[in-house]
Amino acid sequence: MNKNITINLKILLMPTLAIVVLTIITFVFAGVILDKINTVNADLDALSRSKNVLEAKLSTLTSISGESLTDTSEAASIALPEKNSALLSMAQFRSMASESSLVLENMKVGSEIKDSTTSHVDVTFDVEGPTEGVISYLKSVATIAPINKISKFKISSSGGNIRASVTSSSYWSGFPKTIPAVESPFEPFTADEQKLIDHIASLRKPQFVTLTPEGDSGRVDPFSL
Amino acid sequence: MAAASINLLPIELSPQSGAAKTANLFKRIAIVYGAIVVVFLIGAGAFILLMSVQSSSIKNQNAALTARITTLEAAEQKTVLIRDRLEKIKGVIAGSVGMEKNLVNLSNVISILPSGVAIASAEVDSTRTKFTVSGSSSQEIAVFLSSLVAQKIYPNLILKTFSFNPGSGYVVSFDSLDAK
Repeated sequence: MNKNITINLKILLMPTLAIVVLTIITFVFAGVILDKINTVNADLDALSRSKNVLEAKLSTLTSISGESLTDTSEAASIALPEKNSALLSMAQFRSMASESSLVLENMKVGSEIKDSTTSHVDVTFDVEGPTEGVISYLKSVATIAPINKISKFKISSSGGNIRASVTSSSYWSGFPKTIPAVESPFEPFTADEQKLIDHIASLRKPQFVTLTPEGDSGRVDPFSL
Repeated sequence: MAAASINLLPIELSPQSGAAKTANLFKRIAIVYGAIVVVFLIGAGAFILLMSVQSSSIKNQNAALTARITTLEAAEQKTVLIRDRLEKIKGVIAGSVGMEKNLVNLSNVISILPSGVAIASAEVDSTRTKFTVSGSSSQEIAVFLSSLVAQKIYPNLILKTFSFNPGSGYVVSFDSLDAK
């Protein structure tokens, strides 16, 4: 009887052992393989997303790069310069007054005021002339580069003319120091940004005069008669 | 001559038929299971390999794209600069809306001044406009007041003072802030 049981167990042992071993293999390897598949899949997803971002970025950069971008960046840098813009603003105020035949007096510059993202100085001045001319002058302050904002003004009549005592803030801000990582997404300018770009491009720019150095004229002989 | 099946083992050493059937079933299950495991392992290995090759190919493409983008770095720098300026300029412009509106309103007031009435003084900031007009005749002042009401330049405007003296004539002052 015992011999029979042993023989029965013997013939069942091998297939049972095989099933157990296969089950263990399945559990151990399935976990490892599924983990690996998930990792590779996640990597592939990330790479594909990165590729899409890079392709879009390249396409946008290729389409916008060119002369107009250079012009826009120059216009933006003049509209909001890197350093104190008081002198440029004063030059603009003088130039505008001169063109409109208005009298500009008592121009003063205050001290620097730092805001959260920009800095500004208050430029105060008096402008005198015919009423329409002065009002038109005040309106045109918003159309000059560097960006200026009239914070207040007082008007008083002076003979047949009016005199406006104006306080205008002239703005500037340091340039950005870093550019985003190459892999970061890049969006083309939005409609609002494009509108603002057009506005900046239309601003009256200061006239820069480039002085060319004179050549050596040679030493004049002070003793020659 | 047909082959005869001869079992030379003694009967007591032969397995019972039920056990033999079960062993046979287990064998078949083990074989099928083994085949499935092998197919699964080969399939998974091939899948991982395929994905790795694909991933490597995308990596190379990304490296090429990055290199091309690097050559356009100047354009990107300019764009970053423009965006930075735009953001800040937008903030400045947003803060000047009140003043621009008040300036336009004052300009409109001046444009409706009839002859004989002039602006005597004005004080304007981003939230408030105070102005004074003077005229030699009450009729001209009345025409101005009527135009001011008709044009609706200010939604609310308080007439602060109305005075007369023989030297300067009629003097009328207004304030837009107290009316809000």
